[in-house]
Amino acid sequence: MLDILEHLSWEDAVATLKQTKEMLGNHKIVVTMPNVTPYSPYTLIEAGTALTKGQRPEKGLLDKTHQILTDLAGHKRLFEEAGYEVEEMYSTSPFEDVTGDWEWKETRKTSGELLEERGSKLYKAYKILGRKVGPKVLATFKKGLSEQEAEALITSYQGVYLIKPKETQTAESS
Amino acid sequence: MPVNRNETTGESVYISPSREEHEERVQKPFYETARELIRRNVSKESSIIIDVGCSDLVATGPLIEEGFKVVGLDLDETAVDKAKEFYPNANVFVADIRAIPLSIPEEHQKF
Repeated sequence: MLDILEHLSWEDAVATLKQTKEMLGNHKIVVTMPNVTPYSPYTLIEAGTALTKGQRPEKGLLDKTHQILTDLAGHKRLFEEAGYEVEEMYSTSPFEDVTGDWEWKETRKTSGELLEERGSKLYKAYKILGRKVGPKVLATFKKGLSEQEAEALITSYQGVYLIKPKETQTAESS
Repeated sequence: MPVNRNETTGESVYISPSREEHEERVQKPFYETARELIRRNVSKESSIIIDVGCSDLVATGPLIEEGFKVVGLDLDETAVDKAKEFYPNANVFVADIRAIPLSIPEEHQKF
């Protein structure tokens, strides 16, 4: 399910995964979903709105057809709610180094630290967009970036997962 | 996948890419990461990959060319037509995974 679940509501995404589990039995699913890290959803929506003069863009993370906007921990919660567990996961975001020992709860902190280490212009973007900013500030900020760098702000970074049905524990008979 | 929203119905609509645009999207890092996960976990001989919401096979098309057995399903007829155009040997159907039995009739199999 590559670039599929984010187009559904949270409830429909959970229902789709549950239904797939019932139909397929023993199987694994490769899932890709957009990852809002390291920006807060509120900031992203504001940035997206400003960038497109009142409309969400046609592509990228804020693609107007996306209904689920969450981070890696949110994706994991979605899978667990549907009865799946994550066997492998990766992030294509340049803000994260994800390994098998990924600490879900430290997503945002790690993102900022990595950006700072890399000293990129996008760190500046992160610092500015990490706060709530208005269109004027954003327009000023965009002047300092190349078109490619500005595009990166609305690029959809992805979580890539291999998930499998969680093994159900048989209740011990008393 | 490249989609837009029909302002009247609210439904997502597939936007047909050129072959060049398609090939550019095929190279996106997360698609390559997904393909690598599949290569490591799926047997070419004994497994079938079901690409649910396959669009124009932007993610799994290259796997077909590598010899994996892929069945693509998508609700959008235009996307499925494009998939057939880009990958003539593909098993790709207009279908809703919620409404079909997961076995492909022999006459439709191209494996």
